[in-house]
Amino acid sequence: MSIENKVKEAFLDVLKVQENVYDSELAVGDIPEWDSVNHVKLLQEIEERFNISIDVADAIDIEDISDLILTVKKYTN
Amino acid sequence: MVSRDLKLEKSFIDALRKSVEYYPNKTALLDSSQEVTYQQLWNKILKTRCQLRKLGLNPKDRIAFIQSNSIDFIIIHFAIIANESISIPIEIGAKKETVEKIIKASGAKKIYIERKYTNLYQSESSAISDRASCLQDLLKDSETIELESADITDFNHSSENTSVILFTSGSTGLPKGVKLSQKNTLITIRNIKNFCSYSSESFEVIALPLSHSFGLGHVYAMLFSGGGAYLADGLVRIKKVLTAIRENKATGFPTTPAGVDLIMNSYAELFKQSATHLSQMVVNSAPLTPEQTHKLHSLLPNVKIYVYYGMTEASRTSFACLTELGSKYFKSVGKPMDTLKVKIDPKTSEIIISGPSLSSGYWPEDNFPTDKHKNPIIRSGDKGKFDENGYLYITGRIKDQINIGGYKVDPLEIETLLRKIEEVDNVAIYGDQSLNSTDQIICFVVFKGNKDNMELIEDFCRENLEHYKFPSEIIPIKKIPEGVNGKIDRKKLGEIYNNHISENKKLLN
Repeated sequence: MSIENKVKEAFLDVLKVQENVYDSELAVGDIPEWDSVNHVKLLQEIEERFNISIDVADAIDIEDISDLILTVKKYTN
Repeated sequence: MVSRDLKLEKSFIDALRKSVEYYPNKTALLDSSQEVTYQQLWNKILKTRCQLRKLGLNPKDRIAFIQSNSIDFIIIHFAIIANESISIPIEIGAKKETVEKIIKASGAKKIYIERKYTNLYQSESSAISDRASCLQDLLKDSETIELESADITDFNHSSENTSVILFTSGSTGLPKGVKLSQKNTLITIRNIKNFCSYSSESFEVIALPLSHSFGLGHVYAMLFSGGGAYLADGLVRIKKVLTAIRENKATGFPTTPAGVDLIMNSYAELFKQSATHLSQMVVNSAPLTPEQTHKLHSLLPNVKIYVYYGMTEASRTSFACLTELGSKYFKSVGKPMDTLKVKIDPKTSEIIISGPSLSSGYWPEDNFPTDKHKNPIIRSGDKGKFDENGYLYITGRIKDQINIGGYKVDPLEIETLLRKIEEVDNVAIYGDQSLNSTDQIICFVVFKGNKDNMELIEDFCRENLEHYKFPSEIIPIKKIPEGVNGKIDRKKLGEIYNNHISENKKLLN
């Protein structure tokens, strides 16, 4: 499965939103479900699914889906 | 530094006007896109007020709005109050159905919606569509207004009247509107200001939702002290919050126990590096546990940690500076405010509060009983006790209300809704309190014909419930435990849930 699809799957599982809500341009806070608590849960889920450990300095820069995908790519390459 | 006493100020507008007179060119507010001085804020409020009047919105009209934390939020809120209308801030993320109910219950004549949410609330329902306009369009149109001298002096407020209605979750699925007058709030703000020693040198980063009394109270406290505030849209963009704390040399950062957990568990070192000028943190919405207090105090030993006990109806009832009192009092919520009387019901241990800073009741006329001084008396729904030195401790709950990181949820609301699902025979909601920072909603469901279908429940919740009301776990069950009176036995539900957790742990081991 591609990184993009795996991120999408993690996002839908953690935030418990319908698939049509997901958009590659979606940013934190755009939907009520993407709040600070779910954001941390999402990062933990991403770390687990990709078997990576995201540095805090990188984690605080993640503000939208594309940041998330870029970060995963950075850590998996 | 000028410290002002609020007791002579008659209204929010008077209180704000004094700050404008003292500090016209000082920064009052910042958000992620703009910054305003006191004078600029004042002019924007007055212009927006004129625009509201021009549009036919009059004193006593209810005006609702949905706007995330920002300067725009404060402009519309104060403009409505300056217009002698009644401000109804609605929380971000409220479902369309909830907004419709609030409009219906309050009789709001108009609802202003932040531009990015206007599509979300597009509705065939006349309750929203007939009354909705984009807030940013209103503010833009207001800019063209030339203020005349009468617009600046023409205020005739009665601070006793309802100026703000804050809606909370009701037990029947109908939201309840807590009526707040300016007098209630000014007394509370004076108490906060004195207890926390706010002054014109104070600056807070406020990431709490401004549609709730905790967050809004901090903005009032800053503006009425001549201090400043950065309005952050929650903690989700944590980098912006940390940058705002650092760059503005913030002296205060009010938050919730869930916020404390988030910071301590994920961003502790970065927070410490940013908080170089931080002198105090007020933590509320749920009890801060002694463990959390110890951890926070170890990270920031020079920062005073305040907690208070309060509710929207009773605002701040008691205050404690835990770091001054010492660890012996870490479970306390402090001593009651001078203006309030707090008693414990000898039979039920329920905390009963009375005093002039309390709400008079729920909109429109569901008023609380009053004492001989005509002050409202509120039964809090919480159990408490006083120690020998007069410090108050919260010992439990009488109401079944669940506290999700500060959002109050009534189990009956979710149960009533889920019973509408055809495949559901019965349902019971349990509020698990085993976590430190927040309760969890556990949903027990009896499916008809034992045909379990969790996805169905999840989809229904997603469609019909605000996200914080979404159950953390959905557990199928054969029968809902009931007491002798036929009511749900929630204590038994707790036992079932604890057994369920233990079973799961065994399986994992």
